[in-house]
Amino acid sequence: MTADTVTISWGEFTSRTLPAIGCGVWLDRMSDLERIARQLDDVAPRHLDVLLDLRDTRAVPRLVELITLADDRNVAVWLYAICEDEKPARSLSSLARAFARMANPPAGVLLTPAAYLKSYQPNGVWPSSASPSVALAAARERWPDMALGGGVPTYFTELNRCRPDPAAIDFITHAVSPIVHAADDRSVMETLESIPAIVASSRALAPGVPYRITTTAIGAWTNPYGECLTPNDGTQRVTLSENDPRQRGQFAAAWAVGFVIRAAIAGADSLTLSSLGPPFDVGDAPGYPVRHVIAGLARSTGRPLRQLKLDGAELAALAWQTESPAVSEVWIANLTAEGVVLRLKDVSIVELALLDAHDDGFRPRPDALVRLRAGDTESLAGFAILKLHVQNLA
Amino acid sequence: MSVDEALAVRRYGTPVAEPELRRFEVGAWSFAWQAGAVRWLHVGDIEIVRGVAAVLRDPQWGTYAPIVDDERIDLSRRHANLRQVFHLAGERGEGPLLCGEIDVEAAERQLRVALTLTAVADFETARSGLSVLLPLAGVAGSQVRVLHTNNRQETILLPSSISPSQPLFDIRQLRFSPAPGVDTRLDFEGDVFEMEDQRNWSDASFKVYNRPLAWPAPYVLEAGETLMQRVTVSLAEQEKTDRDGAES
Repeated sequence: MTADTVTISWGEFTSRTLPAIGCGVWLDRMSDLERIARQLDDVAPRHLDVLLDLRDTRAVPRLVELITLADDRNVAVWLYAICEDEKPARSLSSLARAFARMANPPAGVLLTPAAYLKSYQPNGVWPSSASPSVALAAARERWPDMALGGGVPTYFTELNRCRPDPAAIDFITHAVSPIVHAADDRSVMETLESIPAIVASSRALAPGVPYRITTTAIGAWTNPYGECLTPNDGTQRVTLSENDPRQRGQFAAAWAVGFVIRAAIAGADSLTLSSLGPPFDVGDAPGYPVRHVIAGLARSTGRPLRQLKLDGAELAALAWQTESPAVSEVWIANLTAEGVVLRLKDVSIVELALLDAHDDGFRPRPDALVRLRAGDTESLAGFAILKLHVQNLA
Repeated sequence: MSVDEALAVRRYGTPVAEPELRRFEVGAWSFAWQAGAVRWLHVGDIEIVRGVAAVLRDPQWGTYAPIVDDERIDLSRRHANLRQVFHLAGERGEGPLLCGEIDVEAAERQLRVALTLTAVADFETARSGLSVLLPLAGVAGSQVRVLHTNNRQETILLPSSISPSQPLFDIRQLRFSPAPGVDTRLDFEGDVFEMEDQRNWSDASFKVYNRPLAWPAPYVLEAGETLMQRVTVSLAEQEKTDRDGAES
């Protein structure tokens, strides 16, 4: 336990709002629609980022089923579609037939020729087949009014090395994997330091369009740098794995809160966390800890943000205005394995709940509420997350 | 399952613990040592280097986890020597594929990391060698002075926006100041080193690594081949900047 006390107090108002929070779905791994329906009801993500491979004939019928579920619940669906390399336009006809059968078209589409799931050195040999911009032009011809994206369903590197024409796109996007190069706990948590630079750099590539970070978790769904992912029996901390044990632990919940806070302050518009079903499943109720983070944050999508001042790097914290003008919601996450002693300054607490490694879901903690209200210190356990409702100052 | 293991599962989804982390203070330095790597090298509150490690990649850029055979730590107030001997197991118990040793010498104002790798059988790798991580604070968007292997010297500004390609090639020595007055020198020996902007992959570092990416990968360390690499971190005395290396 650190000897120092971290003091948290009100910081600046910002013009930003909490990004839209959603979940991913891998269509080729979707098996149980009823389970997805239950997860949609419990977690209530604002959107689904659906990864599908248009070269797979099962993709489109499954998509129609999934979109029906999402429509019933008013959940926006964004398609991250892999298309064939030679003639991307040919991949679009089955999708067009599906759109014709849908009550609502998807919110947006990113098309990625399969060869562009791999990474190429800036000065290396790039595929001679159709580029993402050729695929985008084909989609634009077919769907002039659809929101069409630039970027990749893989990581920022691939976007940075294959930059879209900002005038040709309606949104810009990529995913984040914090276990490409190093998989120890501290290195994974340190990835949060790089998020502001990733957001600023992405923003600079297309300043005028919404910026969406697509499905991000403690894991990697594909390996752009080699032939395959690293095998993992689900107990090992290894790089480039889709079965990282920490995704199922409190660790992922703390990382996700840190990620949302960093990306929100830096100015991302939409964040997609974990998935319904594999590879980054949020679990069945009560579900993994990260599920409670996604459910809690998705509810506050679009709320105006207010920064908090912190005199220590162990914690991440952010506040936003609730629907009641007198009350703000505050989230504080401990990004370390050790307990951190904290104190709140000039904050009048109405409600307090804690998500830690001992309980399923956020639980009220009357003892902590009494101490923090009295201006005393409270120890936040490793990777624990504190959720407060506080009275706004006049 | 013990109480500790149960808590580990709730936190990390696995009862498997990470390798032990030890912290040292030697001379001007404080740093941690974990899994044969030097981490968070500081002078006072200033982070100089995020990490120095031997990184062994498989042909798919996955990372091998070496098996530790022996670790020795000799420590005094002004000097530390940390040594780890390791190997990579071959498939189906055929005996080791690769043997290695990492040797860290920390003295008053200098810290040296030496790596020896010997391929026992032909060893295919995307890259194997020492890599040095520079922290972002005080480094991103700041000046570094680089000495190339041909003795040419230049000063460049590291990028603020994330660079898609390598900011620096062919590095023999780097000089930078992570904070005003903390002039740091890094010397690289034993291979050709270059720098990558690791923020691309959401790492919180600039990485200096051996073997240029432009060279073929994966490649093979042939049975019997031994490589030796060394990185030396020095806190520069206030010396004249044009003393070493000819200006071109």
